[in-house]
Amino acid sequence: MADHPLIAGYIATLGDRLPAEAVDELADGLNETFQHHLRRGLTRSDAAAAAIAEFGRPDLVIAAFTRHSAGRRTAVRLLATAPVFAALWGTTLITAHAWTWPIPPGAAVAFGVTLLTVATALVVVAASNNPERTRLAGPASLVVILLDLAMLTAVAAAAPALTWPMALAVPASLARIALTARNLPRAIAP
Amino acid sequence: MKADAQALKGHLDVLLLATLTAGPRHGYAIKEALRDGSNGRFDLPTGTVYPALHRLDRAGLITGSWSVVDGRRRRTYQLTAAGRRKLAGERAGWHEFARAVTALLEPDPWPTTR
Repeated sequence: MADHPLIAGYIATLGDRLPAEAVDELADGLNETFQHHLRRGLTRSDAAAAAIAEFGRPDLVIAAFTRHSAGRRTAVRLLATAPVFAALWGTTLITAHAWTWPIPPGAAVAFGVTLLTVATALVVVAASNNPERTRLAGPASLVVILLDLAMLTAVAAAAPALTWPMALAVPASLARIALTARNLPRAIAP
Repeated sequence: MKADAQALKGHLDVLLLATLTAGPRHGYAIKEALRDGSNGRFDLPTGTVYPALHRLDRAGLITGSWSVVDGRRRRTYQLTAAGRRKLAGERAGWHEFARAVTALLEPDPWPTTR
């Protein structure tokens, strides 16, 4: 329960954008800051104003929470490693003459469109200061796992022989599947 | 002199862990310990300390618990075993780094003459 209307208003602003658990922690901190200024001898209104000034603007606090969120960190990690996977799988597909594999063109197009969509979603999450958008990281992680599985299935079913690039790309994707799946509960959590 | 956020980038986690070495603290006390322990240099907006604490909690390096003090719900944070290990590792790494930088930046002593 907030001790001053200014404090209550500030917490309500945070409550509109952040998960309840985070707002509880911030409300506790803001009230403690308010109490600290009361103990210094300020009036209630001055103490509330000082506490809010010391706490920082709500958009600053919301941006800090977003920056530290598991979803955003997941997106940054997936994007940072993406060039390696692009190089590995690109080399694999070229050296294995993937255009000769018996894969329906529709499936290849669907794969490409999904890949572009998930990459866009991850860029949006990584660049955003909006905590609502970081929730996209959970579904995006799941799609990355499915894309890796689709690629592995295609290789297993259609590749005529094992190549060196493939021998690197396959374990890399298996490792990404395992790590992304392990991180999935955190990325999905609000 | 206050440090900007850029100066703290990459170091905030370990500094927050260090403020909990002496025992559990409330979030505001952590913020004050950070400011006082750095002679006022790291005086962050209080609201930006909580997101970092929240993340350290989720990472298992600290643990937060609610209690009721004077009828008010208070959250205190303390180091976990993993947090202590992380802090010890970061301390050792920092000392090694600082020694290397000091060795390069400090002027060489004047050569002695007989």
